[in-house]
This record gives sequence, C-alpha cells and structure tokens, in this order.
Amino acid sequence: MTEHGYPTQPFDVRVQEALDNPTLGPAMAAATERFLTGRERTWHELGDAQAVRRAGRAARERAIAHLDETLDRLASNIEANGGHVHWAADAQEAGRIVLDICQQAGAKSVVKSKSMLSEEIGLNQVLETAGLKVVETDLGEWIIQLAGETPSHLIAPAVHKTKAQVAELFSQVIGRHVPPDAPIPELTRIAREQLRQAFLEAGVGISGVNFAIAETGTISLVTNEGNGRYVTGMPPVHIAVMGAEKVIGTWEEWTTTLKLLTRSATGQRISSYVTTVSGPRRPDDADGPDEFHLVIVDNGRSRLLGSTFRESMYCIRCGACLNACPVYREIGGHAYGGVYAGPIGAVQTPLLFGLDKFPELAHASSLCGACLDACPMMIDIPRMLLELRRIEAEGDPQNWTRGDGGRRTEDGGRTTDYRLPTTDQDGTPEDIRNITPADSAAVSRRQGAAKPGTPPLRPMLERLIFRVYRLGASWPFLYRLGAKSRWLLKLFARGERIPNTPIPILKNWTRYRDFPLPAAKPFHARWDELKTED
Amino acid sequence: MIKDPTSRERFLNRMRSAVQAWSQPAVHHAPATTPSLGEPAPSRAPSPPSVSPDGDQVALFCEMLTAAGGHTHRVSTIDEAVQTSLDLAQARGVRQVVLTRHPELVSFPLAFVTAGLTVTVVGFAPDETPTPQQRAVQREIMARADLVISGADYAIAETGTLAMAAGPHNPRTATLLPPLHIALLDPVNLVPTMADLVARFKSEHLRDGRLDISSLTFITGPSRTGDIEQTLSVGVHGPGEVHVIVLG
Repeated sequence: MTEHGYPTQPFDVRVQEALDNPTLGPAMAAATERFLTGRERTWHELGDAQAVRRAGRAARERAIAHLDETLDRLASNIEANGGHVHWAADAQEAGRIVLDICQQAGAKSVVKSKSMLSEEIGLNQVLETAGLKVVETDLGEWIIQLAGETPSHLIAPAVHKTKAQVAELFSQVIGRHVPPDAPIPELTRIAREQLRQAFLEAGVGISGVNFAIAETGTISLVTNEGNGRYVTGMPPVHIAVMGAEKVIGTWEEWTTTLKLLTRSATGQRISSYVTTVSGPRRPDDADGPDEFHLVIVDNGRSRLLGSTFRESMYCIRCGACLNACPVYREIGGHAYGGVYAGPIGAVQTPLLFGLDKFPELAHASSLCGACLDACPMMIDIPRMLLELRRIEAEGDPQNWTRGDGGRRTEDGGRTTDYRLPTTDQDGTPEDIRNITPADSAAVSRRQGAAKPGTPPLRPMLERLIFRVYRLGASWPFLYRLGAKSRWLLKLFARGERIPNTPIPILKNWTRYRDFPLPAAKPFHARWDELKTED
Repeated sequence: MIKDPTSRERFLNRMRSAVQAWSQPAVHHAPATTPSLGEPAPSRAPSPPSVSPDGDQVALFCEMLTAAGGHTHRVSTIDEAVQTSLDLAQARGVRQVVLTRHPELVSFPLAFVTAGLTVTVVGFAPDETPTPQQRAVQREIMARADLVISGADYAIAETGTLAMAAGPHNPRTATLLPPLHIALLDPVNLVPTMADLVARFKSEHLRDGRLDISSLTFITGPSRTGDIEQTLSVGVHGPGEVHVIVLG
C-alpha cells in the first residue's frame, strides 16, 4: 500500500479506507484502550511518576545534547568489546552496509526482530532484491509480512487483522488448511514451529535497538515473545540497526528509561524479556554470535538535531501518544501513510520524508494535547505540529519540504545532500539558523521569494479563503457584513448546520464536519443591545 | 566489505555541527527546560507495589512473578527442589531434560536419570574452549529438549525477574529453546530493584570500564504475545511455562 516511504494515495482516501474498514475501528478502540488502562495501572506504582519522567527526559536530553560524544563513546566501547560499528548517512547507505555484511557471511536467509528503523530504511526490500530470504519473527510483524502490508501500530503491528485472516495466511504458508475458527493457541503453535525452523537456519539475525548504553558499548532489546533473544543469540552473525538518537549514557539512566518504556508501551512493569548484548560471543561462551555489527543511521537525524524539532529525537517509540490520540484511535496507523504513525509520526514522517509528501499529517490532530500528557519523555508534540503548519503556510526557507530520509532514486543516484550547511560570519550554519521559528518567520516575511526556499504548500484556494477571512476579521464593517451571510448559507442548511454541502469551497470541509451557520443574532449585535440597555 | 575509514568522522562531524548550532542561544526557541506539565490525572491514588510489611523480598518476588504469569515454589532443601522439579517434569510427560552448568544443580541429574529421563548438561567448563561442532551438538540437544533447568545469576523482587549472565556455563539460548523452564533461585542473588541489580552487576562484571560478559538477559514469566486479536497466548517463541523454585 505504500511504495517504500511514500504513500500512493492522498490522505483523505487513506482515511476513508480506514474508516470503511469494518474490523479496524473496533480493533483500534480495544487495543488502545487496553494499552492505556495498563499504562495507567503500572504508572502510579512508580510513586512520584512525574519525577521518574523528568529523570527519563533528562537522561535523553543529556545523551542528545552531546550526541557526537555519546555516539563516539558507544562506538569505541563496542569495538573494544570485539564488535564492529558502521556509520550510515542515509537509508541507502544503511541498506548497502547490512547487505554487505550478509553477503560476506554467506547468508541465504535472515531472521529479523521488530525494528521500526528497518522499516524506515526499507531494509527488507533491499535484502530481498539481492535474493536473501527475510523472515520477520515478531508474530505480528510476521503476519503482516505474509500479508504484504505495513505495521498499523508501533507495539501491535497486526492489530487490524482478524483471527480468520491469520488462519488464511497461515494455511498458505504451511500448505494445509487452517480453519478460520482455529483457536489462537493453535495459531501460535503453528507460528512457533515455522519460525523455530527459520531461527535455526538463518545465517544472520537482524535486530533493532531499544537503547544503546554508551558507557559499556551495550545494546538492549525489549520483547515479550522471545524472538529478540533468538535473533541476537542464535545465528552466527548479529546485526543491530539503530537510529543515531537511540543512545543513552549509563546503565543507571537505562533503568529509568526502561521502566518508562515498558509501562508506557504495554502497561507492563517489565517486558517478558529484556536482552542486553555487549559485543559478540566471548571465546569461551557456550553460544552466541561469532560476529556483532552495529549500524548507526543518520537518515535526516542530524538535521533534526540542530533544529527546533530536536525534541522529537527524545522519542523512545513506546506508542503511548498513539494510544492517547483521538485521531489515531479512529484512523489507525496505515492512514498516516508513512512508517511512523500517530502524533509523533505526524511530526517525524514529514521531517524525514518531506513535508510535500505528507502535507496533511500536521493537520491530522485536534491539538488537544493528549499526546503531550501521555508521552513519558514529555515531548511537546502539539508545539511541533503547529510549527509544521506554520512552515507549510508561510513557505519553507529551510527546505524541510525535501526531507532527508527515504530513498530518492528519481535520478538514479544519491541525491540527499549531506554536505555540511554553509556558515555565515559568526560560524552558525545558515540553514540551521533559519530554522528558528521567530527568525524564520521574519525571514520568510522579509525576504519572501528572495530567499531560496519553497513556496507555501497549502492550496491557493485555502490561502485565499484565509486571506479573505483575515481581511474580514480585521475590519468590523466587513465582519458584520459577513455575519449577514446567514440568509445565503441558510439555503444549504439543515437546522443550524450545513451538512454535506455541494458548494465547491465547502464540499471537502462538510464531508467530515458540519459547517455552523452564523448565529441569527451574532454576539456583537447582542453586545450592542446590552450596552444600550445600560 | 568496503569500509570507509572516514565515515565515522563525517557522521560525527554532522552531529557535532548540529550540536554546536543548537547550543548557541539565538538559534532555538524551543524551551530549553522541560515543559511543565500537570500530573496526568490519576484514576485513583498512587499506590506503591504491595510489599509485605517486613519487606520480605522473596514474597514480593513470588507475587510479582505470579502476576507476570510465572509460577513459584518455596522449598527449604536442595532435595526438595529436586523433587519439586521432578514432579513438575513427570506431570508434563517430559522425556528430555537439559541442565545448565550452575553449581547448585549438581544433585539434579542423578534423580532425573534414575526416574528414566534423558539428561544432558549443557554449557562448558570455564577452561575448555568449545569447538563449533561441540556448540552445534549442544544447540541441537537444547532445541529438542522438553525442559530446561537453570540457576539464576540474579533476580529482581520488584518485577519478579530472573537475570542470566551468558558464559561458558550458561548458554544464552538454553533458557529459550525448551517449552518448559525451571529455575532454581538462591535468595542471596535476589535484589529489590533493577537499580540494585545494575549496581551489583557492575561490581561483579565491570573490570576497568569493560564488561566481562557478552550478554545479560532478563526473564519475567513466560514468552507471551497478544498479536492475534489481542488475545494473550503464551509460548510463542520461548518457554510457555516458567517455574522458579526458591531455596530457603
């Protein structure tokens, strides 16, 4: 449904598809409710939860405030442990590095545990194109891999699938009919057998990273099924892929963020398994991989780091903001069209993949702030959504439009520009300086087209309407006149509202929302009356 | 594999220049301090985990592990522990057993062999460097076993968690492959919290800033999934049943 990284259909079509899906709504409601309730239950056991939250955020801030140093320390320690560290500037480079390692190892098949970064860089596609067999081993991920889909929830990727659909998919895999009413433990057993075989055969295991601990060169993984333990412990080669932001300084900080992660994600005090890996098998170890590789991926993160969107890098991918979001709960993950869904996805997807590809996501929010309340890292998502809307409406001098993630193959090569930004006299990188909102609002007003940037992304008509509105709102005479349009609009109204109007300008608006008529007696008229009564 | 020697420097330079740009106060408007937030509205008063008033960590461990879907048994002697494991094994028709090379398990094999079960001790003595063949054989045995009996290098009371340090005596996948896992816990290895465990782990395994083991694995109850229709199902990849026998 998405060509890698980019949606193939416009947002309103994606949303309509989600709303029309009869299983999605109830599944989303049940899943998000279950996670929220669980989170609530375990959250208060933390005692002063707010203090724990502040400590977790502070730990992330520390790691990211000096990200260059933190990553350097992590890499040195991993190498001292006997592991290899690779640095990927973008998705393509990351894919090539992983493929190289797999081919060097002579692997024919690869087992993977869930990794959002691998979705972001389109890793499966790269490996499969090169002829490798790739098996996702998280049960939910495996199901959607069999179905040829993408995850609809960070924590529960196959939440939109019914038991009968899973039975159908499994029938095709095992070549034997699995009845649609097969009990779930039976389906789980089939998965266990099939995936067990994959684990034993695989030449390489690929995992993500929940946190990498810099002080000892350790990566940690959180799973409930145990597939993370297999992927990291059984094949002769283990490759872990991580976004540059997933690093944390110390084991002590790790205990705090881990606590927040599992509670916020599934409402568990701790997940069934937490695996920490510090390099490859030691010579006298009884098992474990002979080689350990860590691939650290930038793919647009260095731009975020220097921008007003830096805060989004504190994200620990718990999914709490998804569960809390009234929009996500209705439309689910697929409608967002990118790898990262929900409120944090609405911020990150446009920044990584281009605001022009995802112009609507910043608007897929009521700005109610539930995400900010839910976020264990207190990431101010509403602020960043507003900032994206501003960039979209005023034009984009920093060229966030382009995004830096994903793969850009239009010209057949790497076009992502990773040259360091040019600096002005005082040494501040120019395009980073421009990102400051106060600054860049001024820049776009002052310099407008003179500044090489991209024009506003909002449709001409919409901008026109808002311009007219602005005019009306700044001239009382026009405003009063506008309020008189009631008699005209009344022709289309049912009661006090206009549902589903054929008026072209209002058509899309009223498809999902009623348009209220101006009041019969507007406030300013009543105010005038009150004043005369005095 | 072509590895560009300067890729690290280029990568870190990009990060450094962004970090420096950010630290100039004129450049950002986002609050440098964390936003002040109200406490998320609690549905009920905060309550710390239920701890027995005397701070009995073993009781808390048992309570938390049970909550996570595991089973606990308290015994006072090794003989009792052996008998409890044997009973569990026989009730489930276990035939093949693997044991890790934890010292406290030495008296287990005899009882199991006498009862007619096949027993293999996996892992290696500290001074023997296993060959790939030896390791492959052990993996095959572990993959076929019905039951694994292990020790526990550490345990955490507040979450009912076992922690296993990888090493010659302790294969990482031993406690993962068989469908049934029985662990023997000596309460001297039990600590109240994860933070306590980290402190102790560091004191025992961090030498000159370097960890002397390749992996530390935390296990809390059975392998579980809710990925099909959000219905809890155990044993999807790892053991579906976890029993901890607490000594003393």
